[in-house]
Amino acid sequence: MSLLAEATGVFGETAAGVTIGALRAAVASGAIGEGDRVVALVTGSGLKTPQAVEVRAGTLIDADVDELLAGLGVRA
Amino acid sequence: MAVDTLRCRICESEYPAVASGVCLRCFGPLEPVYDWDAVARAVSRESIAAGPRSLWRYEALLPTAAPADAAGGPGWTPLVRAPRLAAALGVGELFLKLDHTNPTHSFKDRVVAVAAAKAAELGADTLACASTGSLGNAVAARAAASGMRSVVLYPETVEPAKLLATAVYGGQMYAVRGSYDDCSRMVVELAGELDWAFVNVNLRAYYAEGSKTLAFEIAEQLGWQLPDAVVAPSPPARSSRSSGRGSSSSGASGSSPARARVSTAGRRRGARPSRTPTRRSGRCRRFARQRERIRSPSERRPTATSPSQRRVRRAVRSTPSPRTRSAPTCRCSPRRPASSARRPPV
Repeated sequence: MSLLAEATGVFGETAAGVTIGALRAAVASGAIGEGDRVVALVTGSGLKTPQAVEVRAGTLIDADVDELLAGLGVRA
Repeated sequence: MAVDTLRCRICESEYPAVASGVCLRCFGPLEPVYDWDAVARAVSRESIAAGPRSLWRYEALLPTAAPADAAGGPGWTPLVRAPRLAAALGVGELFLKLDHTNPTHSFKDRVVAVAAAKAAELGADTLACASTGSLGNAVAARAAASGMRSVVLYPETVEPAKLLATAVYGGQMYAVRGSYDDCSRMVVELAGELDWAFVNVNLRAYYAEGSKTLAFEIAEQLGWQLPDAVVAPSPPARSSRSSGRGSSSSGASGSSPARARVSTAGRRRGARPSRTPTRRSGRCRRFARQRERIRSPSERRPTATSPSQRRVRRAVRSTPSPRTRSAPTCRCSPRRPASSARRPPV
């Protein structure tokens, strides 16, 4: 699910994660290769199965641009 | 194109196109019988392109007439290129079929659209199902849109997000202390007791046809070409089987020269394989009981009767005996060895 989201901007449900995993396995086994045109089905929304994704918390900061810029290593 | 006949995939017995999901002779699944000559006369790439931007653009290839709100129906979801994922996986060309953009965020809207259209045609006032989540979402939403009552049975362990997306439409919900298989067994038994439209039981023959629109759309969106491979999750096995049928239908109508390989990807947790040998004998007995009920209406307990319920009941009761003469062998008889269970009766 994470690879799908990070490489395509699509948030699919767990079944979509399984689908991409199966596609990866099919490539590894040689069943699908560089010459193939492939369609992968995204059958449902990731919001149906949110518990399957580890939610990465953002970095907590004060409402201060200088602090954010300092965190980025950029001088204000 | 509305059909008037269902045929058993196993023994080829034929029945009128009413609310009946299983062959009364061999318990095999029923499928709509299309008049392919009439379909070929009625449909062309141009007529499809001129149709609504929903799965109802393939109305000529579906077993029911389109509803009045066909233009707002599910389907015709985007097919988008995914070049970065293709590169990451080592695939030449990769597309994503975004079926989560359907009205209730899953491909289940497709099957429910067709089943609900048939339910309305039969005059049913209640749309029902067993569900692990997404099917219940689709049934409750479609019932709300069309003014029907909905009833959904689901395992009590279903994810909260999926419950919310069923509850919000206002239908009746039952959290079953058991697995999806238990829910599935219950709706099969209930179908023998109630005049409801159970989308994945007594309307299964129509329901299943909704899935093939996925394959039609992929072909049309690729310029009436089929891809080298389609990767789909499973179950529902029905989805991949019917999508495959959609691909072969496309080929049969001259729209596409190739057939898709359908790779199946695994199963969602909470659902068991649809054909588990150890479960066959139990399922067989349940179907046998349903058969008894259909054939012995006087034994049914009285239920509330609206005009629409009476119409459905008449339709169910009018189901005649099969017209073919195949041997009445039950495929799932526990007396037969498991190795021959998939072989059709001879």
